[in-house]
Amino acid sequence: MSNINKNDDVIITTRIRLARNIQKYPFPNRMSDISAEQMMDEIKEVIMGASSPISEHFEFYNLRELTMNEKLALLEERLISPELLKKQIPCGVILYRDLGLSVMINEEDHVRIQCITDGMNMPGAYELANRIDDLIEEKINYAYNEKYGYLTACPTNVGTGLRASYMLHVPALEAYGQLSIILQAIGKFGITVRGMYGEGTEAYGSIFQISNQITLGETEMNIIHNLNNITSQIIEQERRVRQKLIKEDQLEFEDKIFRSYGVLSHARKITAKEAMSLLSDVKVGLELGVLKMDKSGLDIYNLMTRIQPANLQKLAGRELNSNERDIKRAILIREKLPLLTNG
Amino acid sequence: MKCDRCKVNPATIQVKTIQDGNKVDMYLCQQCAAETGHSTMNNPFEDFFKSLLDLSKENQKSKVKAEVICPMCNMTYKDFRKIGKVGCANCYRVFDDEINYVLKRIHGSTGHVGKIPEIAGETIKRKREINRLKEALKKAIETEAYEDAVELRDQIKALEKEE
Ligand SMILES: [Zn+2]
Ligand SMILES: [Zn+2]
Repeated sequence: MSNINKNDDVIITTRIRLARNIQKYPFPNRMSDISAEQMMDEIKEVIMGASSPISEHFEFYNLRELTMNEKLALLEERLISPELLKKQIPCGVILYRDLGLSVMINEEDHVRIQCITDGMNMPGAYELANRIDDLIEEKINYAYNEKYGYLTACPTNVGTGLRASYMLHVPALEAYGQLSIILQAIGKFGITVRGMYGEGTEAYGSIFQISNQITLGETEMNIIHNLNNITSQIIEQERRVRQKLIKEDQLEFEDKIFRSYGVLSHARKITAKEAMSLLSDVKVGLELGVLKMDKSGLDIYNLMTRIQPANLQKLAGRELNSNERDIKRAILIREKLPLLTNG
Repeated sequence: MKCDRCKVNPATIQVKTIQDGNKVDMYLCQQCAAETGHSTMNNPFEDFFKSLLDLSKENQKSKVKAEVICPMCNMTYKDFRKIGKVGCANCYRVFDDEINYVLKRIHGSTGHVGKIPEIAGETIKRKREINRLKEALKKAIETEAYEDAVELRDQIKALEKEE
């Protein structure tokens, strides 16, 4: 029952991002290395030194002290953004991994508070991010004015500085070619769509991210409410088409799902792209009861993250060439994929 | 150069992606970039914002504007238009005309109604409350709810006194 409440047959994750800047420093695109270091120290002190019980769970990483692979692994986990990787000035990230909370320092804005939670849980994600925001705000003056609200490096983020997103798994809509129609339509409602990692990942397991475009002139709650409305409609559509698929082409559908499971459970070598697409099939097969397995044993999103190149290398503890990665990936998937109880 | 995706339109943006651990450069036209979400990687509005800046009426007087510079961060008007980003909080005052024009087009609004920071937020909160009460007062008068109106008027007066 709780699965249905979280809508996690369609919603993989919920993400909140708050963009903030500190009044007394220029924005990161105009900041000296010295100010950047100093600011990073201040934020670290405020968050990690707070007497709040959550403070002790935070870890800080200075991006300059990480290897490229460690950085890419954080990127694959979506704890940092591609933009942070490219930064020349001192920058870093504060993490509370178990809560999916990360605070990027000196990205496009001084502070970007982000929270990712499983399933559809916007209030939970917003509440957490907001708590960190309050923690900082208690001690530090944000760049803020009455007219534009929170001031950001790119004026298109001003106001709430809020980006709320859902990661959606919509294989049926994609298979029926209805996705592009929906995606075009939602643009009118101030909602935007991207691939899983923000970039052209269209074939990556039918996973998309939708977020609000408007940040100014609406309250945080309205922004979230609007996104929820659109998302609920997409969920409904996806479910309808899934039912249709299973009714009209049951054998074809089941055949595809079982084949995908078959490849994942027996392959000796597999690329990330293929694995993502097959995992997407398995996920929908599980949701619709075609595949039966001990579902608690399979966290698809987590597995999708672990099979990305940098995470595989992190697990192996060394660099791997692409052939070695394909082999390791197949092994990892075979290990993690539970046996079918209706095979 | 032709777009890598549709192979028809001229490519206008370069996109860097990480595919299986390798960095790959792609060249896309505006349409394909929009369709694949490439132009929207960090901020779907950035390009749009920049193109709107070009349309901004203020820019017709750009000879004068080109000289404008933010004294806090040294951001010039030219740089601002080029990168579509500002350099500091003060830039919002320096380039307010342009920002205001573009934000109205994008968000349909230029007034923040969301969260207010605790620090330094008192005056803003009070102003917002006064505005809210004034709206209510207008409605009360329209609907001839005079008792409510008197009460609202007193509340407004009390708040205005604190300023
Ligand atoms: Zn094209
Ligand atoms: Zn400035």
